[in-house]
Amino acid sequence: MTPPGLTLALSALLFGLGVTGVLVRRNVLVVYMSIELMLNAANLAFIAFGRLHGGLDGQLFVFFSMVVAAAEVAVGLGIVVAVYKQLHSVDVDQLNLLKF
Amino acid sequence: MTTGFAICFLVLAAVALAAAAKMIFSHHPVHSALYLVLNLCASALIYVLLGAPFIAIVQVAVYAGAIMVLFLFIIMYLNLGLAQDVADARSRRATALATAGLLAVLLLAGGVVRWSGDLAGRPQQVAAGQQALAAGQAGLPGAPAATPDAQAALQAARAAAQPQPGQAVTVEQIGVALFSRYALPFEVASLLILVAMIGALVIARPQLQRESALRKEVSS
Repeated sequence: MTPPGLTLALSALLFGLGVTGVLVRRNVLVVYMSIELMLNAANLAFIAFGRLHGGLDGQLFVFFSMVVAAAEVAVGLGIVVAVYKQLHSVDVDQLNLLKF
Repeated sequence: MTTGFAICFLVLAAVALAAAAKMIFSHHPVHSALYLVLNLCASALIYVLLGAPFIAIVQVAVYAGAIMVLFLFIIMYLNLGLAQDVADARSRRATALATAGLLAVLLLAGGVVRWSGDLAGRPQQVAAGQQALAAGQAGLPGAPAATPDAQAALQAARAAAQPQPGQAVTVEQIGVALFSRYALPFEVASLLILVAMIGALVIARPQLQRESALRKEVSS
């Protein structure tokens, strides 16, 4: 049996890298990919705990979170295309219409 | 944990972390997407190691396949060249790395310290909890009085249907659970995908006829 600590450490590091990507990059597509990375890190933690406790629930939660991620990507990329049509840029610093 | 298992896990973890880091600091969005695919494939193999083969296949087919193809399609559709933001990302890197590092340390402290200790007694605890639960359910008021034989059969069936700690989950078990206990969330998920599909079409569709007519009026 795997020590869940090892998997959780990997999950935490991947999540930290995802946060770094969101904070560092201004290209909205790369920011989006970093968000996917964080979702994936959370899934990894689910699998680790599911294996620790036995039962199916951990893996089914991962399944549903993947469904939500797929839906989120479809809508999010639609928004990216719409924004690009308006601004001709995918730089998140350009999206400042709500700012005074 | 055998040595071979540990080596596989550590190699895959190193690949996943390196691919994630390269993804963040690649200049070209296409390179970022391909590194994310590598990261997702490495985590799919880790899922196999952790006894989740179904999730691993879904990860490769849905994440690395469908979602990343969608990403690449949008990158190429928008014809994005080299990202301009990597150079000025360097100035932000120290602050961002400090913040993210602090977060990762907190997560590590919360997770690893709690769960890396002696877990030898854990499966027995879980089994005892499940037995207590089954006994409680069997003794519910209003339930038909079950014969000891039936109870034993029920418990054996439950034990067969539920994977034990540390055991791999088969696709069959997931399928049965999806269409029995998780039938409602499953249907809601299909509805969610339908709504997302319609929403994406509405958001990304070409400009409205009305808007272009308005623009013509203004210009004429």
